[in-house]
Amino acid sequence: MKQSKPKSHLSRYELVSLIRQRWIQFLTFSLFLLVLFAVINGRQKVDQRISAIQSAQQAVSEKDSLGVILLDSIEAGFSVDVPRWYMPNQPHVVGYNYLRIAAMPPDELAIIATGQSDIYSHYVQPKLYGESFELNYTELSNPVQLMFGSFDLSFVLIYLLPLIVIAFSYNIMSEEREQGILQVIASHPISVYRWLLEKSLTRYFLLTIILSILLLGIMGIAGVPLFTNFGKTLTFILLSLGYVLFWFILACLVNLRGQSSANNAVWLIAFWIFLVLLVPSSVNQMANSLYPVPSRARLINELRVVNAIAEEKADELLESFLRDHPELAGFEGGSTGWKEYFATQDLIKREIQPVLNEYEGKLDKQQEWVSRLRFASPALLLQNAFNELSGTSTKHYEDYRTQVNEFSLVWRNFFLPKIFRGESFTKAMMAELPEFKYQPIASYTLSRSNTLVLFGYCLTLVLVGMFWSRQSHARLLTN
Amino acid sequence: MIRKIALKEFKENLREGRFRVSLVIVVSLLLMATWLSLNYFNSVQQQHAEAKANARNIWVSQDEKNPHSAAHYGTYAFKPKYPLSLVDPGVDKYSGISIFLEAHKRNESQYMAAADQTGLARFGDLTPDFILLFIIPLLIILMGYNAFTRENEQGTLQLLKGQGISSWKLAMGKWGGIFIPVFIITAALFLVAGVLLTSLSDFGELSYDALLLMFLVYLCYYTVFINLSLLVSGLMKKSGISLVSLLVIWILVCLALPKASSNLADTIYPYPSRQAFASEVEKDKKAGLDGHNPWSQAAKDFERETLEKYGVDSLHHLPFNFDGYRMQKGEEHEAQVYFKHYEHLKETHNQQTKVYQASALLSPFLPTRFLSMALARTDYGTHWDFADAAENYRLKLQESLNMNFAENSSYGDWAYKADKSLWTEMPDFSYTPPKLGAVVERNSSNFALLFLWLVVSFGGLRTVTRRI
Repeated sequence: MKQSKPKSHLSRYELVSLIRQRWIQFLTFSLFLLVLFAVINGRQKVDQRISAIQSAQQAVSEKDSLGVILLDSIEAGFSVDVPRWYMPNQPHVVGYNYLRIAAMPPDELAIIATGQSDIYSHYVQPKLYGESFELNYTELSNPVQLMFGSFDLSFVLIYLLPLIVIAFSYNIMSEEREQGILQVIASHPISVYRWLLEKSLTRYFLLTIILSILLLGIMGIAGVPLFTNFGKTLTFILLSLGYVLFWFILACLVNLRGQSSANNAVWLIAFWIFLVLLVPSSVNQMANSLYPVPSRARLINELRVVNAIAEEKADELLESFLRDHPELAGFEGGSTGWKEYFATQDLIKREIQPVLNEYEGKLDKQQEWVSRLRFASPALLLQNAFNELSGTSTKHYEDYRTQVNEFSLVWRNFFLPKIFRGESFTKAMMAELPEFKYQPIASYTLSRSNTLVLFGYCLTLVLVGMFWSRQSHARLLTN
Repeated sequence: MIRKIALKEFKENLREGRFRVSLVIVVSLLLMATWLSLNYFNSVQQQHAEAKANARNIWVSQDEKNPHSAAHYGTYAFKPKYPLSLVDPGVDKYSGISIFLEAHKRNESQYMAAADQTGLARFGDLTPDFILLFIIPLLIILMGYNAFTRENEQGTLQLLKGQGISSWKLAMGKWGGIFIPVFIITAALFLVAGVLLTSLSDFGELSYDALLLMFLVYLCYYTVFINLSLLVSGLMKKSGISLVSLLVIWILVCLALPKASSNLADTIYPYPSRQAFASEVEKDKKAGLDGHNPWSQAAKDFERETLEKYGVDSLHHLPFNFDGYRMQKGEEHEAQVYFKHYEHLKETHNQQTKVYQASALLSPFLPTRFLSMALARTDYGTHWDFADAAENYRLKLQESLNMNFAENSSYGDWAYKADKSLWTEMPDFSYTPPKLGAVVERNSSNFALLFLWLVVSFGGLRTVTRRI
């Protein structure tokens, strides 16, 4: 009982003093502005993505309705004013012109991190024929924007939040010593460490409460469905709070060194530069050198060589001109032309697939290696987890590409039998067209393990602090 | 007097442990960055040379075939690496490495390195420009934040003034004390870069003028930071507050503002999505002549006009193969469509650049960033230039192939095959980046902005020192 009294007293004193020094007001205000700006930017990117998909969907619906009208007229025996190569009663015309949208809608928490979403497209329309073996998934963008990156929540939390924590705690102990308060406290029946711990905990909880309320509040107002997958939201908050804790503990440790406030600030900034700027960029550059991304330039040529050989074989099946212009096949060679065309395509695909697989295998391995380097800095852990929670990591886009590839096959297989049998495409078939349904990756194991590792780092720092504090007690008061 | 103060400041900095440690860190980082970049670029350069040679090889070793089939088969234009990209790789990582050149289509450059990397790559790379743009300004802040506050705190300012030295001379002395080490580090880096680049045989032609100009641009950037550091140090009473204020300025100027202006540019002048862009192009293409579509209204009109022009009544009587001729005219129409849409895209890009330039009024980092990339020929402007050159080459290639088809076969003769020698006759794609003069002209506003920062920051320093 005796011990609990000074605790509550201290915390209350700390709170009152923080309010009087306008610290709480400053913290809340600056965090509010930063989070708000970041959420607005995130929201805007997500909205752009949604509206692009919606307008594409709209265009598809309009085209479909026209197609249905045309089919209706054709089936009723009316003549229609459409060139015959656009007549939708031919399956290959529908497979090439009446495309579906294979879209990757944003994840619930996409607002958190832009991640790789500014690099990639979020919808494609696989065609029945005429497409190169690899769809282009990169988005049309100004590379300068990609280089600068986006002012999103991820940036605020990873880069700016530690600086706010540093500003809030760099002099948590040194100031008291500089003002002579520490000596007074040392003469009271409370351990200096206990006092520091309570003071830091009060500040930490205060910051976490303000941060959590702001994050959840502003994101909630911006329409982010926080409760659809609450586990994810919780992981996001835990990661942010764990990161704040990491910097708080670091600040306390630096304070324990017993140097001046200015010195503490310089040390903490040095840590920030090291962990947030230098480690990530060094790790990235070293990864490029040690585990280079396999050469795309080489792949392009390898594919072309293999493609050329396959085409030579395919020439026996089809005249090369017809291969470039399969739309003419239906007129010049009847439906048999299509059989040959698809047979050729299959042959080419079969021949180039091993080269592509080998490349992608190498790329996966490289990315796996690089992914392990995230343990080098808490900033990397956080970024990695945020991208996963937002559904904007490289992995998510790879998964999307795989799903699209599968869909393209479904699309093709829907039409091939009809083409080969020489069937007409009917109005009823329009409703049977296969649709792409994106299956988001539900798991977020990386984020959960990153959260654990982050708290592991915090614990390690605490242990270091405890070990250190035993040795530095005298210096703390006298310096 | 100024020289004496400068030397005193320089020596004092050198004696300070914190500065020595920082200096060692910065220099080792620079060495590491240069070494890593050199390794990386050597391998990329090798890949590029190999790919370029292979692409040509594949093109010339085609069998006898219809020239238009060869046009569809296409070839690749690989973007060369420029020597100075060793110092500043700019937007290279985000702009793709090659463009596929084929009939009927202007393709975007493909395979940006960032798309093949994990999110880690978005943190940036430890390249010399990272140290030059972000870390050296921090070193300057570390040297300058207490230039005046320390004198104030120790009471030595009164002593100095008592000796009759003018505040401006004192400030200039302190300025020199910071500038000397910064100059030495930067000069050493550029010297090393120059020597390294000269020793690399296959790194293309190095422009020493550009290297020198880049060096000067960075010196201006550092001068602005030195001025800002001294200015803040002169305004503040305490060293701690001066340091924190300068760090806040650094974060805003180098990290937050570029990102914020990027969001702003994207909001006000958004790029169309790839699909939207493609469908707009497709719409315009359909409105005109399609070389492969003899049944469209445009094709019928063109057929009639051609018959009238040559005064014959049948396509068979034309002195050339009408199929090849129509293919070429179709290509010309498509080229116009692409030109129109790409001009529109460029316009959007120019508008976005204006947003960045407006933000540059708040951040000396932005003009420096843009100038450094431009001089290294790794900026977006150079990428556009490369893409345009590739497009011009594509159009010429298409024209030669289509006209060969038209002139050497008769109407309806799709079985015509050109001799293998035709592929060798077609010149290889080669690209020379814009000359330094053109780069400087294109970036005149960035030079002006940096100069403005220089003048304003000197002016500010002058005003503040008067009050000391």
